Amino acid sequence: MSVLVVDGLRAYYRTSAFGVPRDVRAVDEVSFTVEAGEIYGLAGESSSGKTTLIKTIAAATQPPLEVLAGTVTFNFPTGTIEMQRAGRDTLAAIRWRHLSYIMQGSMSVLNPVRRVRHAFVDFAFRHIKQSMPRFLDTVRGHLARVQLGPDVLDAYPHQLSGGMRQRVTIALATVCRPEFIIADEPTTALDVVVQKDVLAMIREIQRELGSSILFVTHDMAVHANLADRLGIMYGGRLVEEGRTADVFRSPRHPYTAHLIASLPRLGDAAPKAGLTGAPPNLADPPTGCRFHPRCPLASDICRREVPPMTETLGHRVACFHPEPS
Amino acid sequence: MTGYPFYLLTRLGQFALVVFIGINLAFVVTHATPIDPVEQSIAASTQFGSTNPEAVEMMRQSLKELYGLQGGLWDQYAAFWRRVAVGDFGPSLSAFPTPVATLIGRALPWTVALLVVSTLLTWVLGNLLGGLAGYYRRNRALRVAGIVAMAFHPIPYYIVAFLLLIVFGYLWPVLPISGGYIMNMERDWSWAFIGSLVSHAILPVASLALVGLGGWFMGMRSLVSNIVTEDYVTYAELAGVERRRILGSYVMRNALVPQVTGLAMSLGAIFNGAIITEQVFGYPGVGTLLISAVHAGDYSLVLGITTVSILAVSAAVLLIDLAYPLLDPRVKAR
Amino acid sequence: MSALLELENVSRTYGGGLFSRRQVMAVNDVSLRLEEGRPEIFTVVGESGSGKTTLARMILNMVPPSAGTIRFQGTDLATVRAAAERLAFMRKVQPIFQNPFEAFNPMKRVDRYLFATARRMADVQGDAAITEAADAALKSVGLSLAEVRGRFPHQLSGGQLQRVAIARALISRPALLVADEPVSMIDASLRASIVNLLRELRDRNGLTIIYITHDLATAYYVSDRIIIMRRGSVVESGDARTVLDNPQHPYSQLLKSSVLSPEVPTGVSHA
Ligand SMILES: Nc1ncnc2c1ncn2[C@@H]1O[C@H](COP(=O)(O)OP(=O)(O)OP(=O)(O)O)[C@@H](O)[C@H]1O
Ligand code: SF4
Ligand SMILES: [Mg+2]
Repeated sequence: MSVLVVDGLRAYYRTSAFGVPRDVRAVDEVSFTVEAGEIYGLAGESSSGKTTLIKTIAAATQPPLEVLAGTVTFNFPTGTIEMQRAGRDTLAAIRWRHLSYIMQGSMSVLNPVRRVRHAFVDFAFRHIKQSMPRFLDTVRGHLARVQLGPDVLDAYPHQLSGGMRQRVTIALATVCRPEFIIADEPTTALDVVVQKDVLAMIREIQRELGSSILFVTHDMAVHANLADRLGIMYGGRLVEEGRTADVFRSPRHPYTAHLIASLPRLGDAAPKAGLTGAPPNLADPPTGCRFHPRCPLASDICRREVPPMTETLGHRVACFHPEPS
Repeated sequence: MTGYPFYLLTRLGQFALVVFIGINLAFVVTHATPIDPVEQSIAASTQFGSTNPEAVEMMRQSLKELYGLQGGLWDQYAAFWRRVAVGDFGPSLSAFPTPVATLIGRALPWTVALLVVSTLLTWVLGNLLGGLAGYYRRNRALRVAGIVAMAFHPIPYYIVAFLLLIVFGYLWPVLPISGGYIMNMERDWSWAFIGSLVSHAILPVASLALVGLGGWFMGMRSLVSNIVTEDYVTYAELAGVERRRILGSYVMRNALVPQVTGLAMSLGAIFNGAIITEQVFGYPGVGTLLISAVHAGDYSLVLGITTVSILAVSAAVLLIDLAYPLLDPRVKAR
Repeated sequence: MSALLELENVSRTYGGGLFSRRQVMAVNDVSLRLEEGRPEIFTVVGESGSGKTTLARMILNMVPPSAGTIRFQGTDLATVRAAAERLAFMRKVQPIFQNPFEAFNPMKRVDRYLFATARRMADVQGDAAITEAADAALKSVGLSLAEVRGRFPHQLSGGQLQRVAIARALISRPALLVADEPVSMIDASLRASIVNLLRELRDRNGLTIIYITHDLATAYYVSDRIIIMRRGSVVESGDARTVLDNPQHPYSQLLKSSVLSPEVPTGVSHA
């Protein structure tokens, strides 16, 4: 059974400007599953709806973000939870015990005026049935796994380097050994050397705990090195999904193909063409396939109809004229 | 040097500098006025009949000594600092020969008590309600509180004070409207005396609170509604941390940092406000004393009050400043 | 050959002074020389805090060096002080910043920026001439005035806006562009086109470009020469491909080995 099943999810930012309603269609008809013990990578450029999708999955939607359709279902050992229907208490019970997060902008996710220790106590203490001194011992032991000394507990966030802070949030997100971890751009703000360590650490802990991770980043190189399967978002829609190796070696959607071909590689100075045009405006997205204004293969049907998702051997693509698999 | 000791030292330095400049200004201003306290005293005590010139000259000498006006300007300046150091500002002119220090000592506790109580009350209440209103945006009662606070805020202080006077002094006379306690009462710290102190303080404190609350309320509310969108708040919410804990330790705790700075910055204005309050409610504090000293041209009393208030306000600011790093750990590193 | 830009033992420290505790050597004894008449993309790579931006700001004459001299076309930048001299210098050396959205005022239409720049920086007078100068600059970055006319910054994509920023920099016909992380805030799908534009400007317009980045892969793609900085000092320098193919300094080697390749590694168990 899949740990996470997202089905037909649609979430819009519903605002109105001068009385005229305006929908930003940030997530439209997105369906996918994440299996136990798997790292599912979600890629897509800025404003493609990655963070919105994650907020919806986490049931952290606040106005103006509204879920219009679809379901998000988690299958945890303790039971099945449909996130959009679950009450506050149900959510509080699974949060951090079964479902935790590593957030985008890790520099600012720790309370700047309190010591790191309090974050662990606030987030995890109620789930780990131990006395406070035992609990703190557990935390210290866990910090050692991400190569942090026990003294970081007494530090304030600003006293730690970016890499240390990111490791603190990784320790924080894994201390309860949750089944599912959502990570939104966890390494984007880090220097390359630190980023490589942090990724290795996430991989290692994930293997050890057997958790599933939904790993979001726009950085394709990170996906290549970490994700088992990869989903590509464009303009609020999932346009392609498959095993990471398959997506990289034989991308089927023209957008993915272009994205991967234009990635700069060390040791390769051959000219690469960039994509023309601008990303879609989600308040007024193009009709039919949202990629059609920029697509070299676009035909009439692309402009009229939304391409349905089709699957061949676990490789899914939403395109009328996909590359052969 | 790093950390708190460095911070402490720079703040102490700033404090000393502010006090030094302020007191110098007081010296310059009082010495630049055309009023000569010595001649004025002599005139006051000789106006009923002629005294012999030698006696007047002796009087002049001893008065000069009392006021620290012997010798050239530099001697006077040095004498002035010596006096400031020991808290001796000479005798008051209007209440001759009572020393200025005694007059101020009598009035100061009233003002300090009035200001400490009203400021703390206003600040704590305003921030608490403002914080709650910013966090529980949909709560009706808090919305109403917000509207009331906003309605009172722009009204000038003296109008609110007179409104209170009229309502509670004449229309519904349940509270005393003037003085610090019942006149001629034995100051014996009996329950009756304390009761009279409290009832006399209610209107002045209430007037200051009514006007001050709105500012803290609205400041805190907008701070909080910004802070709730900070990543660390979202993160705690995603972690299922209790709402009350998020409000207290995450939202309010961070909003307090600028509010404490705001308090330190507004202390001077609060002190000025006290002068009007004391006038309106006939409160026997430093403000009342200062006004009468100015009217009477009581040079040494004005100088004494100015010096003491500069010291008091700067010391209060210093205290808040010194507590600040405990609130915001980041300033230690800066 | 004469030098376009020459840095001689340039250092910059921050801090010190009466009340501060610690001095930071942001740039430590950096020397380099760019030749006139030999357009190239000269790349400065390093991690955050390695002094790249401080170096750029000194070259742009925005902060003075604490030690050493910087000469542009033979003139010591320390002597460029008067307003007229500064303007003349700014025409020749133009910056491009990391976040195009921060470089533009969100309330001001972007074409107005170009017109103002043409008037002030390039001394173009008359509406027709100004429009023409703006259009020419936009054409050389693959846009046209028709596309951006009347638009506000948020109505353009990051890639388009960065192109407009580059167009604005080109109006005064500079000899040197200093581009500080010009693509790091731009979407992957648009990044390649901006990097290509830098190559084009070098080859077609004969511009010399100082390209500052932390991204070794794009550095490899566009650079002629490269320096690798660490904590303010240059640890390795030379022909870009040579250095990056076969780095000598341990730090350069570490940096190179940390770059994630966008290839799926074979042998790793992908479920
Ligand atoms: N509070 C909001 N109100 C209205 N629109 C919003 C809001 N937040 C995001 N959006 C819009 O929703 C769309 C998707 O944004 P989202 O943050 O999910 O993208 P993302 O893929 O996470 O981007 P990034 O890579 O920059 O993090 C964008 O068009 C964005 O402008
Ligand atoms: S559906 Fe048509 S426009 Fe869309 S990606 Fe496929 S070919 Fe291009
Ligand atoms: Mg995002």
